Amino acid sequence: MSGDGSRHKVIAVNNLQEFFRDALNAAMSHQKLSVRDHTEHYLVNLLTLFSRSEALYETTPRGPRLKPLVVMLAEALDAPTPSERNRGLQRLGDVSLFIAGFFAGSFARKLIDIDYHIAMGGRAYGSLADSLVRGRERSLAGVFAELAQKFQRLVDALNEVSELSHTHTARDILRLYEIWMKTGSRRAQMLLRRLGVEPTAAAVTRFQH
Amino acid sequence: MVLRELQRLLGRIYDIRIEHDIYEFLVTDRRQLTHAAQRASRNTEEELLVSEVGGDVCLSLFLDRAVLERLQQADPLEELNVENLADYWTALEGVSHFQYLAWNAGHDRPVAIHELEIQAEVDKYATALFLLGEQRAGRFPLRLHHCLFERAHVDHALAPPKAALYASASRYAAKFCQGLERRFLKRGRVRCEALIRELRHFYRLTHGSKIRHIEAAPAG
Repeated sequence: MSGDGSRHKVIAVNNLQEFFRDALNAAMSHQKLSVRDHTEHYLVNLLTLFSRSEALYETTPRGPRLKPLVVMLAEALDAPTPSERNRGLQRLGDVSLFIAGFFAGSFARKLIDIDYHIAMGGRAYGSLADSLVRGRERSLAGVFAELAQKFQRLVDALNEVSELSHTHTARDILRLYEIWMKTGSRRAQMLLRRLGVEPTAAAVTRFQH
Repeated sequence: MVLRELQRLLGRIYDIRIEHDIYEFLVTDRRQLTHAAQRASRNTEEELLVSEVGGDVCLSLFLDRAVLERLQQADPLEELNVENLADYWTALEGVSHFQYLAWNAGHDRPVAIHELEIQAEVDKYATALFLLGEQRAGRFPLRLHHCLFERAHVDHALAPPKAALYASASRYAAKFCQGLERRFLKRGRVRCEALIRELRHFYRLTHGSKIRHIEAAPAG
């Protein structure tokens, strides 16, 4: 998975979490970026969660779609309770980070001077950290503060995760994995193996925070 | 469908709830309009038609079917680009007029055409700013202001008083949006939350207050 020479080497993984943990660690190490254990755990869970499209997208009459980030922000601002506001900010931060990391090309991003996703996601995490710092969930405040502070560098690391394969992006792998999870497709399983991912039945994961 | 999504987008940004579905007021075939309305809309692809009957405000939004069909094919909420931007702004202007008038009518507030046009230009700018920012790999569209306010021109076929009204509304909206860029979109210090709060504040100002708000802002 790390280069042309090893593209066809099969590395068995117990589940997608393990795959993402390894990929993220490698990318962060390469980027000389370190995060606390809780933050790393959060990121791995986030990647695993959003590998299921129903977790990332919302069902609409026109098919699965993402709400515009500005709508997520507006909904968070209008939330009737602090906990709903926090949930909205967290979702905004999560989606912004994932989209910037997996969908925005790193080359294009290097040319930009103002980053929309940082403005949206980084600030959402920052606001969330501020609001949690004195509450019952203050242990999470440190995670969100670190995500806010290192948002850009984490996006770079996620870009690297998504570029692990030159011929198939992590997004393709996720889509194949999802097809295999839902349908048990042998073709999807075969393609995953070719890409170095050994799908196993125990790959379903829970995500809570 | 796309108009309903634009209606929702504006509703969310401004935190306004309009009970009426825009499709119930939509006319896409010019022949269905009254003769007077046909004359009023003959050179445009979009026109909000307003009449007052017994104290009730009656609204119809005319939007050329071809515009809607093109937007169905190239959904601006998925990808806003040079191909669909003009149609997007035409449709958004109609939705903006409808929302603003309906919202003000619901609050028993009169609306001046000049104010309606200022708000529509601001809506066009704000929604395109957010959509393009999101869709263009995280890039804020820094040429948007130029594209909307400096490159666009008022239709020469319009009667002089109407042309002057549109030109004035565009100038005020341009100054307001320039102020937004200066205050909230500074390089490395983008403040989306504060930007939304300012947009919401501006939306709720009356015509006179909008003008004073814009004129009070520092130039440049």
